[in-house]
Amino acid sequence: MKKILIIEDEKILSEMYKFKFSKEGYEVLSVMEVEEGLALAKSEKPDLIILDILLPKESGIGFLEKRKNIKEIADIPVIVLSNFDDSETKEKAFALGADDYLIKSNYNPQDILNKINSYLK
Amino acid sequence: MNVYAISALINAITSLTLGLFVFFKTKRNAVNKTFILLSSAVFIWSVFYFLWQNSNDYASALLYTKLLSLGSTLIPIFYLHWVLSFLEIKDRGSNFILFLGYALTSVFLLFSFSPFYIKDVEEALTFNFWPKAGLLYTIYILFSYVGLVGYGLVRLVKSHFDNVGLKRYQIRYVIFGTVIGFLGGASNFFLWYDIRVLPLGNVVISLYVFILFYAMMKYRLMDVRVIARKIFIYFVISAFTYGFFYFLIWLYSHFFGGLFTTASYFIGVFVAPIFVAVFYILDRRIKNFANKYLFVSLYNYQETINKLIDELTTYIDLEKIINLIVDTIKETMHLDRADVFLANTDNGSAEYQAFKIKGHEKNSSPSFSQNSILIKCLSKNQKILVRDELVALSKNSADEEEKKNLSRISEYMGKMNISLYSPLVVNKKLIGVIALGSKISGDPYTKEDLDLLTILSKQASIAIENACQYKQIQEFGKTLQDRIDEQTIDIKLKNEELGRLLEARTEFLSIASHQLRTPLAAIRGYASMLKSGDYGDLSEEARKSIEYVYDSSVRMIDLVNNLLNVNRLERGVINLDIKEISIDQIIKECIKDVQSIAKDKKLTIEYLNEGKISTIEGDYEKIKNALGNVINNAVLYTLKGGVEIKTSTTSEEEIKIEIKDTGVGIEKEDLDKIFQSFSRGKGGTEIYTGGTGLGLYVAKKFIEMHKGKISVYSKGKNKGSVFTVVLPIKP
Repeated sequence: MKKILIIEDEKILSEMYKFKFSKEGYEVLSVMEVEEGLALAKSEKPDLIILDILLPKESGIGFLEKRKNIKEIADIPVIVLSNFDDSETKEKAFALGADDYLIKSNYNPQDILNKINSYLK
Repeated sequence: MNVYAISALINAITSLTLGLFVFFKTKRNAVNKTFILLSSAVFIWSVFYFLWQNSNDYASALLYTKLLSLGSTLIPIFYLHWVLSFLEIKDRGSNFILFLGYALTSVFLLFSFSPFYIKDVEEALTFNFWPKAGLLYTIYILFSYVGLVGYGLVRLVKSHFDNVGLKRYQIRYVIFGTVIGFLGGASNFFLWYDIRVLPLGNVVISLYVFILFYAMMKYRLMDVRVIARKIFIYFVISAFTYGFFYFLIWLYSHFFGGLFTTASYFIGVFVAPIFVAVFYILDRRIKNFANKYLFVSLYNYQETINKLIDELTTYIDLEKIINLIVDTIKETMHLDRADVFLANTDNGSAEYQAFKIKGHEKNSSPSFSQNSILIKCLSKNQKILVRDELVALSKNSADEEEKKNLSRISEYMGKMNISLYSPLVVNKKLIGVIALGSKISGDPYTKEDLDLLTILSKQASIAIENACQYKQIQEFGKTLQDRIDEQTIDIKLKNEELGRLLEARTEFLSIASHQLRTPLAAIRGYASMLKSGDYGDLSEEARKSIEYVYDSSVRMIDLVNNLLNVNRLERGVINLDIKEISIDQIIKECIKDVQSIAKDKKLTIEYLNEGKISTIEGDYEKIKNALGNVINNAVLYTLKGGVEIKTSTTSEEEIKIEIKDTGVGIEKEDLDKIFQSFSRGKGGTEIYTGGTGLGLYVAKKFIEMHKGKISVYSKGKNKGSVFTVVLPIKP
């Protein structure tokens, strides 16, 4: 069973994605902070990470920066899923190794699932 | 020849000269006419007096006595007539006295050759032949000499107290002359009645001529000053010429043996240039003398005015102009003080403030308000206000209010030592006032002074007005610059403020949109999952409802996206995230987004992919946004029929997307505006009110960012539209 890590502080959204992705047969882990995400990613080695940008304490960009330097998780594909879509952040995210950058409100959970499937199947 | 004969001759000459002065100046007015008569009478009396004194026999002495009496009989009545004309007295009493005077004088004249008038001539004191008075002569002395002259004198004295200024001074000298002349003349009467008193007064009679002459010079008595001045000069010059001539005769006779000797001719060669040189020097000396001592106040109007005008035109500075005016007036007229007050109309009502003060302390010249009696009076009359005249004016005024005001002004002027106010008027508006003190000599202001002041004031008014306007323009220029500076700063501050506001707006938009997007994403996400049966089957109503929720959330998300995009486009901070994207996939996704709406409206959506090219390089989000907006519009603005989407390949490098609907269409005049921000076609607003006018604007911008093109074609209202998007394979 493939593992997906969701780093998202809005519980209402992470629950939604968790429900949808679990239904598809993925094991879904969710955390609300960057540090927790890093720790969980290291210990659980998910197959894909869904990352929000605006997070408490530290932003998603911070996660990407740190991930790059942690060998064991550096290669895990990351889909940024944020409502924050300014060009600068987007470019930074891509430069730090994000595989995709999606605006939450523009996609249904099914669309995101389709994306995940395209990475994992 | 005795001293009386000589004095008579002098009397004759001086009277005749004075009479001629007046005659040559003007003989038209009553004053001058009667004076000429008086002078003639004095002349007749004096000439025959002279002849009588020189007569050696009884018969001629008697004849000359009777002839001289003709003159002396006429003197009192002519004198009275002159005095009344001079004083401008025309009341019935005076007229009656005058008439009576002429009547009785006629009687005297009628009997002047009879013994009732002059009985005889007899020896008296040093005189061989002195006349003796008849009864009628005594009546003449009492009626004419005492009565008529006395009445004239009384009227003079009375007028002296009623009059002011120049006239008063004139009257004073006439009284003085009268007393001298008639007292001197009266000394002749003693011997007529055997009273042994010599007629010594006769010697001083001619003094009255000089007194009147002085009054003419200084106080413009009978307006003969200018001609009198000339005559004075000619008189002295002729006296010199005659004197020189007789001196030469005397010289030649005594030292050179007569006038027509060789030596005389020889000397004449030297004397002639000496005469010319002396004449030239003398001429100038006399003129200087006359100007200096006799005609102190006789300045040359034209010269003063021309000089002032000349200088006034060289200045535009208010201060300098006022200085010039004050100095010119003060120095020309020898005044103790001269001030200029100017109207200050800063706060609506004029305040006349002391601008230039000369000859006294500034704090003794307070300003006048527009409503002060003085300013009101000057504004109303716009004439020079002389204090001396005010006294008489207030006495004669019938209006109690005016009387009070005039006497108050007069009182004030007295307190402030001001003799005269001259208004400065431009366009009938009082722009200022010149206030003058007294003449240092103590003399009153003459008519000539007032005429000069009137002209000077007019010239000064214009110059002051010009200077004020110049100053105002300068001040206006400065104020304008200040205002511009102020507003530049203001604009700068506002600009900065605007910048801050724009920044704040951007910030607000990005925060707001982010905050909006999160709940919208949740609504959209859960609704989509509910709708697709992730939470189990729904009843038809529930499914329908949840579809509405879903569509509404998508609409709101589109709105948020468009608002954000417009803001970014306006700020020019939008970048493309170029990737390989599938147009086919984007169109399908867009169709999916509007599927339920179309289904509701029973619209068909046909999609025909005829193109060989399926992928291009571009920004997925933006192309989706652009095409989504166009497709969305096509569905929203179509009521029946459907939407047809067709992709085709026009060349190896371009992909063409046509979106054709059977909707409201676009009117011709709207076609140009349809891609502008916040612009909506008329037809569109009629059937769908939820639009913002942003979708096509954003679409056009995004497509253009990809170096693509978007165009629209519509046959008109209700005839559907065709949107054509052409995108290059590589932007």
